[in-house]
Amino acid sequence: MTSAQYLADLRLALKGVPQKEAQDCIEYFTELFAEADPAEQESLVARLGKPRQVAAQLRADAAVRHMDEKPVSPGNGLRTLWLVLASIFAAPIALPIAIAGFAVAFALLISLLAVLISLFAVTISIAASGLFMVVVSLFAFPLHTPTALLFMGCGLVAAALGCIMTVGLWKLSALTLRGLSRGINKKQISRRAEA
Amino acid sequence: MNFQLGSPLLDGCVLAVLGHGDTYGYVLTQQIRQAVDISESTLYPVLRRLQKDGYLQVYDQSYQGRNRRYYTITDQGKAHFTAIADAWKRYCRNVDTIMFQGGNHD
Repeated sequence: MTSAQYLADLRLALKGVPQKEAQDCIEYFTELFAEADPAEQESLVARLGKPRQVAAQLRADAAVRHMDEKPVSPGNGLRTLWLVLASIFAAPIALPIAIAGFAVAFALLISLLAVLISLFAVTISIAASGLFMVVVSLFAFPLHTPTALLFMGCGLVAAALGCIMTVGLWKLSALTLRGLSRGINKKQISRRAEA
Repeated sequence: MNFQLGSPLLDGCVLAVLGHGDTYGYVLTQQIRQAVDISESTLYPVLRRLQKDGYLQVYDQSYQGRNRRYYTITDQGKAHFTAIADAWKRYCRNVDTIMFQGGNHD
């Protein structure tokens, strides 16, 4: 691991630690790497251990300090009051915006599903019409054999293409939906970590 | 052989170095590392805690286009260091008495 990699990992590990605290910590390690001899960087990184441990220690210290503090200081109470008032006044605007946001997201999801379903309908119907053509061609054999063979060939090709496309589409949509749900989950987890 | 280093002892080492003059992070950590086997990442929370408790203060000074954060000991820190140093002296004497004389024989 390089010093740049260490700092990047540290930045990630410090998620959820108060901004100022995290900033100070990153500055400390940045300074350390800048001061250390270029030849020493590698051994320094090795000595530092995992960035996660530093972050965990800071978090634990902050929690202990938090317990020592008085539960609610007057300044805190006032700030909370302001926050509540502000959110009440913002509600007439914020609430509709939030609802609209959810509606748009929901509509996007529904339209995505609709597109997928219609694509399935197309591929399945190609396969089905191919099969139908094969069946029809059987009736044409007694009348005119070359025509029957042509129909049968076309039908088989259509049926095969339809099947391949259906399977492909199935895999593609599974991939899309899985990616989508993973993205939503990740966002929720990171939001929870920040809270 | 490694002896376990409690946080009062680490506090004492940091404050002792700063008692001889202000210094910046790298020099401070390397000085401590000369005496005890400890990494810079373990020292960071120690420095943070000493600062929060009012035993040391920091100030920034630019050096070759980047920043150096200097640490300086406060009066409160000096008093804290004296208390730790006294306790350490007593502790050392007691351990020495056991370790080298097998206890008090008078």
